[in-house]
Amino acid sequence: MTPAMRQILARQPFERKLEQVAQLLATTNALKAARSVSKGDYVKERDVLFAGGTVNSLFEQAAAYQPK
Amino acid sequence: MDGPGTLPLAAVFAAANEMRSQGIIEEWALGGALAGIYYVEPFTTYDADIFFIPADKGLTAGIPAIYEYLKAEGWQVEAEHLLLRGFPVQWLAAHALTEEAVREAREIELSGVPGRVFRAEHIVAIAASVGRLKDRARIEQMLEQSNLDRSLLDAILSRHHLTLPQP
Repeated sequence: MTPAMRQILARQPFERKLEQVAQLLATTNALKAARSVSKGDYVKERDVLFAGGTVNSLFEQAAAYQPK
Repeated sequence: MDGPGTLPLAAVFAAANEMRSQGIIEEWALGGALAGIYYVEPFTTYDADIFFIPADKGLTAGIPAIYEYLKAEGWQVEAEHLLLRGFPVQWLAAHALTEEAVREAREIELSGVPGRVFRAEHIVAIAASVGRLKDRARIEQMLEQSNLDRSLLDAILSRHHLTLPQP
């Protein structure tokens, strides 16, 4: 971001800045929540599916996959 | 007072004003990151820092009375924070430089509620006195964006035997 743009953001009304901080906070919390899921349940699930797989063997599995 | 999708800072101001009216605190002002955001571009912060001059000059600085008042008003206690609608607020007893910052704070109005916020020059001086990496970044940002009074800043730094970090 350019210094000129930063100056524009700095000169906004305080109320507007507080709304933006709240949005930043909500985004940060959502990202944290997503990360905690991928560290927990999702990774465990993925590890079971892909255990022992190599890139080639996974492509072979994908090619042979028959939808139910 | 505070609309949806924003921080409940006007309600925090109202609570601080009421405590001052009741003599629980002598004076107060917004400090910390949110005070910085008053002057510069917004950035992420997780709480509000309210600095107060205690009415009770004893060892506890009147903190039990503050907790008692805010809990009665529905605030939740979590570690060193008091939470208003899930938003953490730290109530910090001011002394020396921060007491001067409270006494000389700028009067503002937020959503119709009168409030007080540290002057930009005091925010820079306090950051210089703390000196963490994020404080150095805040100093740089404040010097670039806040249009502060450099002679006032120099006077504050000199009075409190502080210097700005070298770039």
